Amino acid sequence: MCDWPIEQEGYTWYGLKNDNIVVFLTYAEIPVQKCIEFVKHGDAGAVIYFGGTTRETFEGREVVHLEYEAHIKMALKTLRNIATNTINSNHSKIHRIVICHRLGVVPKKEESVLIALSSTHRDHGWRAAEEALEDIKKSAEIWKKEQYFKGHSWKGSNDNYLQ
Amino acid sequence: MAIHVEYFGPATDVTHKRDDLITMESYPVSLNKVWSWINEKYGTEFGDYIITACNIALNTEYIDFDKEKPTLAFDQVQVKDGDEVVILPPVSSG
Repeated sequence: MCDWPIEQEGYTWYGLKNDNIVVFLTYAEIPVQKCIEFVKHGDAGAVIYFGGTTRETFEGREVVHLEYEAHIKMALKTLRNIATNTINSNHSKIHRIVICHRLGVVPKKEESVLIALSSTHRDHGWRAAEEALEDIKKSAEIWKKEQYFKGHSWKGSNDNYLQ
Repeated sequence: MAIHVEYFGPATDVTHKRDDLITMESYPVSLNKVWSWINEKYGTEFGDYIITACNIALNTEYIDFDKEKPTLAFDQVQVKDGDEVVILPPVSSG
């Protein structure tokens, strides 16, 4: 795994990388095509891509934008563990994986989270990507704020506990 | 030097800041003392929220505690000068 943060194209990318795994957090737009290219592999018959994009409304309220913050060191460690586990627990059927989460303000309809992976066959790939996403949502040290025209709301299992 | 306490997500709606630097008279202290400091500064409602809803990490390692009797575990955790205590509300990525 390489060091972080990495300065690239004017943005700070907080990332970890080895031959088969890339995980990173970025304040820039997620380079979807680059992520897909990275995971392509000679033994893989499928590339699975999931992009979580920001919605325009939540429970009838218009969302101005979403904003994410993270404990960067802890979140990267969690994402790396999820990526490593995705490859190790699928008996050589998952070849490469990229997990990326965007931080800061994310305009509507842009990707806030990305998973791309390559698999020998598509069924393992679909399942592995779904499990990875569930693990990310359950454990990555990242918080989402929905900003409305008036007020904001933090998402999470104890939403608005303090309000 | 001091103990660095970091807040994230909905916790910052109460603290209105990302972090606090707490200076103690001597080190190490127990995590209980840090939690008491937070209660005194931000109120017991916030302290209760941390116990019931949040995780706590010391230098990025999660602290295991019983939500019914948190001080039993907090008393056993030593916090040193320069350490980082992190308050982690329920996460919400994606």
